[in-house]
Amino acid sequence: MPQDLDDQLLDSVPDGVFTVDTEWRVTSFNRAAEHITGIRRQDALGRRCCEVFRASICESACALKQTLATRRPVVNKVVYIVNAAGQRIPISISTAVLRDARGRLVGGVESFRDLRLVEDLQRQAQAQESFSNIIGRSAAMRKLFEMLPVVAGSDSTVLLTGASGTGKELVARALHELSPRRAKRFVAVNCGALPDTLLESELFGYAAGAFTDARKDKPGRFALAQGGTLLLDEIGDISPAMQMRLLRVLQERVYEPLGGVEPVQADARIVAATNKDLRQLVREGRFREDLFYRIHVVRLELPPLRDRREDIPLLVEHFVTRFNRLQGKDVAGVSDAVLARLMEHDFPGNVRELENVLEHAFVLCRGGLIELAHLPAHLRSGEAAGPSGLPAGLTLAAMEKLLICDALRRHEGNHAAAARELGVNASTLFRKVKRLGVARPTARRAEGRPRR
Amino acid sequence: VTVAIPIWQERISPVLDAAARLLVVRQRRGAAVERREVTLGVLTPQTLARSVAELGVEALLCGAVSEGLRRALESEGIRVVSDLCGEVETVLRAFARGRLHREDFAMPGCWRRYGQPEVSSRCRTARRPPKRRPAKAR
Repeated sequence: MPQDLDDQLLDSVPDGVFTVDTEWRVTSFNRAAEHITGIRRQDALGRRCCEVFRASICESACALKQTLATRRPVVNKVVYIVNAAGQRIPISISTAVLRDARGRLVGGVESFRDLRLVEDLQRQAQAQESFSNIIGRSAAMRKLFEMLPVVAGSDSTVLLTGASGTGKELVARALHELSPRRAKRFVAVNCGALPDTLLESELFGYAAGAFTDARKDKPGRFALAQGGTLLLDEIGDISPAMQMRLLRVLQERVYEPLGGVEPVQADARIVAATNKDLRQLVREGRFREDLFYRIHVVRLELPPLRDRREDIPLLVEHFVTRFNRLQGKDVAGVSDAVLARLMEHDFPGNVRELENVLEHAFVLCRGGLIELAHLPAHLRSGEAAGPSGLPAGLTLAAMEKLLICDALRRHEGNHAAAARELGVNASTLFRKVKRLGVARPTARRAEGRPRR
Repeated sequence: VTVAIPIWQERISPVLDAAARLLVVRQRRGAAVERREVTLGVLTPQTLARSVAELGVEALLCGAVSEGLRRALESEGIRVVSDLCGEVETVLRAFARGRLHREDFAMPGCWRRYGQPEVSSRCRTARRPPKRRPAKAR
């Protein structure tokens, strides 16, 4: 093939391609290579490939050198190059040896693909699937993502409802990060975890001398969140007395620290969260109606994970990436069987439970894929049984055989009784036993007297 | 002046961002009075720049360098002369004699014949045009 035809052929390829001789000098350089590296063909030809290509691996693990030494190609290795403009460009490279017509090795060929476009697309896709670290592409989550910036922009009190582990604190943080108050602090208090007296001093602080051992002033969470956002988690668990005090702060925007005499202005955006049905608590008289309406200004409901199962693969991917980074591991993901098991699990603990399941699996999995054996016992114990109690992956015929065997065993081989239980005619059962090759139960013969 | 140069196989390392060894040379009146070699780990641009600055380096001669790393080095007060190639000793000698602008030391893509319009603003030739044309370049 004439030289210019070779060049035309290479120039028509969208990937960068260059060839080198056995001295590592560039012998051809196509148009896409010029475009990606920013180096003209005439400048590249005859030069050392490392000075033209400037890849992160030139010095330590040159793929072409490896290919020429082992005669094995390298396929889609991801590295970066520094182009003529000083930009780091992620690329994937593939290499192969070059031989002449007589089969003698004359050099190597390297093709490379600019991954910037791929990364951009991935970033765009991820941006649609997450919002301030909240992951999801289900309709419920998309609706939440749409509402968050709007709600964050206002200063209204927000009530976050949702079961435990659905990410109420994550949403509260997102509301803070997106709000004009983001320069100040985000403070979270778990109201359910503290007895009244402690919660009071925790929220409002105390002045020196308020009680024994109160030697100096201690600022409360309201003071710490001044100008920022205060998350009152598990608001449904606070006592009626505390509800009263809180209502006053929310209404009048002032509070008095324990033992203090001067009222202090409260300037914190309140986000309340609960996993309880506050309306029900109001009906039962356990939650003040006026406080309920004071915090129920904007309500955001976080769906349980079982109602957005389509987000499970995305969440799994997110946690696998996160644990790989945190634990310095190289786990590729979860096997199909594991994903199927996770998809059918109800996750009463929601996203937190899924996170814990994967953290458990990461401890046991050394690399490659997370398998069923790496899952916690409560998910693994059903390894052989599906949700119905039957082994997973059965065909209809196998299931029929299993049910017939079971019925025959229970009725000690009595076909008539077994047929009655199965709701079929005895002759139908006989036919099925024969067709499916069901073994006769031996219980009666072993324990009782022989039939003949 | 204390000058540093990333080295690989007795030549300038092709990519500073991925270089493993750094030669630090203190030159006085064009002659090396002290030399030492340090190993570079996998560092962020800021950490690498700080480490190089802590070695007392005033000028860094290198091959390709990413813009991020260049900025980090320059913010530490280090003069970066990039897009160089060639044998380390020859480059050091040329630096001492002020002859680094010669075409033999230029990486491809960043060296154009003087006067050509497409000279990249990044190339050192663009920032410091030579006073005279080398005869061989014609």
